[in-house]
Amino acid sequence: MEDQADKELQERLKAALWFSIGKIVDEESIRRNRNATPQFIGALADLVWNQIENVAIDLESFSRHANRTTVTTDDVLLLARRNQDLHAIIKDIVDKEKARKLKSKAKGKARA
Amino acid sequence: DQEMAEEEDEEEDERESIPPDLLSRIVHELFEHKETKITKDANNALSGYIDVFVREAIARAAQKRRGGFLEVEDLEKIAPQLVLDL
Repeated sequence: MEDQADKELQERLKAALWFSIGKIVDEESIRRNRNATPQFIGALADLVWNQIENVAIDLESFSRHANRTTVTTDDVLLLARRNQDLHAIIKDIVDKEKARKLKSKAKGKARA
Repeated sequence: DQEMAEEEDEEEDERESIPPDLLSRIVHELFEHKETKITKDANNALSGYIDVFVREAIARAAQKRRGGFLEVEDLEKIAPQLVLDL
């Protein structure tokens, strides 16, 4: 029984992912003036699902290796260790968020 | 080490992306251990990674085919190297 519910959940999540990737493809289609077939979008969604699965397992391994049960930004950065450009992009996201938090903390203190 | 086919865009905030809640849900479903969780910041960073993955896939597929519709075979051609690179 549990397997069936699990399968249904995965199907729903895959469908939601497919929809969301469709939107990204649409945006890129407009930007590049290039269309994509629905089959392309479906295949891309499958590819992304598989990539997320591999990535999730890697992230879990990294965090467990560090004796944690919670995946952190350090683990995500480790994912990008083989690609300098990718690493820079992710580091930028992480740094921007840290800066944003620092800024709102400072604002809070200033008011008090 | 192949260079990114995708050029970085300045106006990143307005771009479509996978909703963080959805990604978090998917990732928790795919973790092998029940107790594994992910911080909000890590989920955000992961969302950025997946966005790059998706857009890079489209960029590389578009590069391979000069014009016309992007089709499944275009994705099949670039998928192996993409997965290796990212």
